Amino acid sequence: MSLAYYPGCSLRHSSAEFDRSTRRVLAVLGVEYEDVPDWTCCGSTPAHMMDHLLAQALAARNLRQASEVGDELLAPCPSCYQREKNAEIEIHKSDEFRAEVNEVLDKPYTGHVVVYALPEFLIKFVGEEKIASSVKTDLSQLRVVPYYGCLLGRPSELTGECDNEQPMMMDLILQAAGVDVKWWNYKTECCGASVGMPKMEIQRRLSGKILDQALAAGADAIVVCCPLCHVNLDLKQAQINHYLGTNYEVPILYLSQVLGLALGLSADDVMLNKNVVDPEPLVKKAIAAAEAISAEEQRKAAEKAAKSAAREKAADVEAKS
Amino acid sequence: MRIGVFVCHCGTNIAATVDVADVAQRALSLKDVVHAENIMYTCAEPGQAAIQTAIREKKLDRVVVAACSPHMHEVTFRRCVESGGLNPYLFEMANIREHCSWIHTDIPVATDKAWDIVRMAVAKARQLEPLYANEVEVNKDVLVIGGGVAGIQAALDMADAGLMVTIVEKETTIGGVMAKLDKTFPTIDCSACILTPRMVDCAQHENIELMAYSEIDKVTGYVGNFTVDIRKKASKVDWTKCIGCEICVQKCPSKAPDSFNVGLAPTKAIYIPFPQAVPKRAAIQTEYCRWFTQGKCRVCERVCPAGAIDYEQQDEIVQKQFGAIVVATGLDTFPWEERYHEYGSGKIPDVISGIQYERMLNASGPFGGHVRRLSNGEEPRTVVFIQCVGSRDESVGRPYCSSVCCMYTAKQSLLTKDHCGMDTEVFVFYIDIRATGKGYEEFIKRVQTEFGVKYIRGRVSKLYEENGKVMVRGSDTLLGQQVEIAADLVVLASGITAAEGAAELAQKLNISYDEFGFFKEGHPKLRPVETNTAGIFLAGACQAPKDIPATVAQASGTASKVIGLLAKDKLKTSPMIAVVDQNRCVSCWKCIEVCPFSAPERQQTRSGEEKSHVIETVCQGCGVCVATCPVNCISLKGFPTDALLDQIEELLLA
Repeated sequence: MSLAYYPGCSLRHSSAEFDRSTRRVLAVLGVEYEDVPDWTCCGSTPAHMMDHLLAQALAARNLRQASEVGDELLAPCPSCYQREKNAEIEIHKSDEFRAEVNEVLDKPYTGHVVVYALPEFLIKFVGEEKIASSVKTDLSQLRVVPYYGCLLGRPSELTGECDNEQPMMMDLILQAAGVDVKWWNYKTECCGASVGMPKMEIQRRLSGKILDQALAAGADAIVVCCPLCHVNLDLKQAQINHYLGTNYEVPILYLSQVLGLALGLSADDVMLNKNVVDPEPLVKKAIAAAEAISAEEQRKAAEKAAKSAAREKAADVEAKS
Repeated sequence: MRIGVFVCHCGTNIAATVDVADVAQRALSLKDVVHAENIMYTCAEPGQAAIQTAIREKKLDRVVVAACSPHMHEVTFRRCVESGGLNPYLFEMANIREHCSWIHTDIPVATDKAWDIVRMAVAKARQLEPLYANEVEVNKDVLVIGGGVAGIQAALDMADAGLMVTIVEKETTIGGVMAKLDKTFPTIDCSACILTPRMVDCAQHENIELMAYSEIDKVTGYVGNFTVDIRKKASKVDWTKCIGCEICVQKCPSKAPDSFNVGLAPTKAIYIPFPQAVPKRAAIQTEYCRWFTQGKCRVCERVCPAGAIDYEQQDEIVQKQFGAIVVATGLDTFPWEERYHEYGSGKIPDVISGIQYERMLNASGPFGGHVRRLSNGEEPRTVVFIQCVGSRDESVGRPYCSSVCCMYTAKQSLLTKDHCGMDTEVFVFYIDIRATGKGYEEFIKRVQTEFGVKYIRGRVSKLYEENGKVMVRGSDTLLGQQVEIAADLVVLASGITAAEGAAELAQKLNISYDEFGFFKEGHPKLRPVETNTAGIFLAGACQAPKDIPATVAQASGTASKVIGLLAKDKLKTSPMIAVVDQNRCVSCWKCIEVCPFSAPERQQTRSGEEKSHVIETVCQGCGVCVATCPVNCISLKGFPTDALLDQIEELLLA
C-alpha cells in the first residue's frame, strides 16, 4: 500500500510549482506515492456552498478512488484537504450517512482513507529528524515567516491537534530544514481569500498587512502552503502596491519549494521561475551568505588548529632540548 | 421492639409527589411498627416535639424519619431522639426527597418507591444497637498553611485568643499576593501600608511561630491530633545569624529571575524578595548561583558581616503535632502566555499581565513606581486593558469568573492616569463589569466619569506589533464595529487559578478539591470554612477566587471556628467505626494496607498471636477495611452487615 496523492485543480495549473516541488520533495525523502486514479473535483466552494450531500459525495468519490492506492491520502492544497477531511470525518462517523452518500455515487465507498495536509503529513510520517538529516543546502541565512492562513488550522474539530492561534507545524519543518524562521503574530490572519474578486480593496488591505507584518518580523520572504494565499500575496503583490502606494517586493514561496531547496533540489526542480515576485536573487544571496559564513568558520578553525599544532611542536622541541 | 415511623411532607418538596399519608398508613402494617404519622415539617420545632412525645407515650425504642438526605438533617434528628430519651444511634433516616420526590413526577410510582425506601429503613432499624461516643484529648496548637493575608489574619485572630499557631510559608517571606500589590480598591490605600504591620505582628506575637521557606511533607492523624512533617527548605543561609542587611544581594554577581516581581526585572542569585519582607532573611537560588553551578565565587560568604552563609545546609524535616489545620494557600494567576497565542504568547514586550503591572506601579517595585514600556523604557501615552484573560473563557478551560479583575483593572486604569497624567489615553475592553462589593460600583463610575477611562464592551481578537506600537484589534459590541487601537502598553487582566501544587497538598491533607484545583468547602452556604475532613479549615482564595475584604472576612470566620473547636479539652468521636473480631482474624494485614487513616494496628493477644486491632480514635468509619477483609471479621458499628442484607431482602422479597 502506498500514499495516495491528490493534486486537485489548483496544483494542476495555477500553482504547478507547488505540485512539482511537492512531488520532488516526497521523492527525495523516499516517500512512495501514487496519484489518485481518475480523481475529480474535491467539492470545493461552489458545491459546498450550495448542497451538502453533493459536496460530500464529490469528496467521497476521491476517497473511494484513493482507497485503491492506500489508506492515507495527501492533499497539498488546503482547500482540497478541508473538503476531503470533512467528508472523511462525517462518513466514517456515521454508517447512515455513508449509505446516503453511496446512493449518489456510481460505485460505493467502503474504505477508511485518512486525509492529511502537507505539513501534518511531513511531521507525522517523515519527521523532523529525517528532514534535518537530509539537508544538503545551508539555508540558515534565509529569513522567513511561515504563513498558515485559515484552512490549515481551523476548525479544530477537523484539523485535530493544530493550535489555531499559533500553529507550529510549518515552523518545525522549516527549522528542521535549517531555515531562519522568525516569530510573528500574524500566522493565521485573513489574506482576503476569494473576497479579492468581488471586493478587491478588502483583499489589498488585508494582504498588504501580512506583507508589512512579515517585514516587521525581520523576514525577507513568506512561506505558504495554500494556492489561494499564494495568489493573493504573490500574484497580486503589484496590485497591492498600486492600491496602497507601497513598494513591497516580498517573495512568496511554497513550503515544498523551500524544503526542496534545503534538500538539494535546484531552482528548476522547484520551479522558482513560476513565482511572480522573483525569489531567485534572494535565495541565491542567502545561499552565498551561508557559504561565506561557513568558509570563514572553516578558515578560523584551520587557523586555530594550525596555531595549536605549532604550540605543541614548540612544546615538543622545548621538552627535547 | 417498638418502632415509630415519621413521614415528612417537607412542605410540598415531598408531599407534591409522594402521598405521605398513604406511606405513613402503610407503615403501620409493618412488623414492630407501633406508631406512624405524617408531619408537615419534621425538622421544625413542632415536628421534633411530635417525635419526642411519641417516644414517651408509645415507648418507642427505634425511630425512623422518612424525609431528606442524612447529609441535611441526620445530626438534627439524632439530637432530637437523644433529648427524647433514646440512644441517638437507634435512629434511622429514609431519604424520600433527594432519592425520590425530587426526581420523579408520577405520584403513584413515587409513592410506591417511597414505601420501598421506608420499609428498607425499618428493616435496618430493627438491627440497630445503642452506640456510645468516645472522647479524645485535644492538642491546642494550630497549623496555618500559607502566609498570605488569609493566613496572617487567621493566625493573628487565633493567637490573640490564646492558641499557639505555626505559620508554614513556602516563600522566604510571608505576605503572599497582597504584598505584591500597589494600591487596593476601592479606597486606593496602599497595600503594603495595611499589610506589613500585620506581617510584623505575626513575627512578634508570642503565640505565633513563623516557618518561612518551608513546605508540608506529610500529614497523618485526625481532628485534635494531627502529626505533620514540615520540610524546612535549605536557604543556604543560617537564618539565626542573617540580619537582612542585603549586602550579599548587592555584591552577588549572578542574575536570577525574580518571581516576586513576576519577571519584570531580574534579581540576584542570593535574594530578599522586598524591603519589608518578614522574616527579612536571604536565600540562595542554587540553580543560578555561580558557586553551585560553576564551583567558584563565594562572594556572599566573603561580604556577609554575620558569617551567615552556609553552602552545606540541607533540607530539614521537622515533625510537629497540631489539633487543627487552616489551609490558606492562596492563588496563582492564569499563565496566559501558554494559552492566549492571539495575544502574542508573551513575545510582545509591551503586553504584560495585571500582576506585573502592580509591580510596575509599586514604589518598591523594580522601576520605583514609574510606568514604562518594556520595549524602550518610555512612558506610555496610550494604555489598553483587556479583561477576562483566563476567566469566563471556556476555550481555555476557565469558565468561572475570577471576581477581582473588573475591580483591579478599574483601579489600575485610575492609577495609570495618576502616574502618567490625565492626558494619557486609557481604554478597558470588558465583557460585563462585576462590581458588587461595598463602594465598588461607585468606584467604577468614578473611574469612568472623573478619570475619563474609556470602557469598550467587547473582546480583543488580536495583538500585534506595528511601527513600535502594539496594535489592539477587537470589537465594540455596543456599536457593532471593529475597533483598532495603537497602544503603547497592553495590560491583560489575567484571572485567578488555584495555587500551583494545590491538588498535591489536598491529597496530603485528604481534603477534596474541584476540577480547577480550588479546595471544596463542607457546604457552599452553611459550612463555608470547614472542609469535609474534620479539623481542617479553609481561608482565602484557595477555596475560590476572592478579593481582600472577602478573604479577611473568611479568615476571621475560620479562626472563630478553630477557636470554637479547640475550646473543648476533649472531643467526642463518632462511635460508628470499624471493629475487629479477633477470634476470626487471620492476620493477613490487608486492613492495614488499605486504611487511608492508618487506623488498624497489629496487637498482641493474650495467647501471644498478633491480630488486627482498630484504634478507635483514629478510625473515621469509611468502611474500606470492612469490604477488604477476606474473612469478614471486621464490621462497622451502626452499619451491621445483617442490617444491609435485611434491607436488600426487604426490597427484593417483600
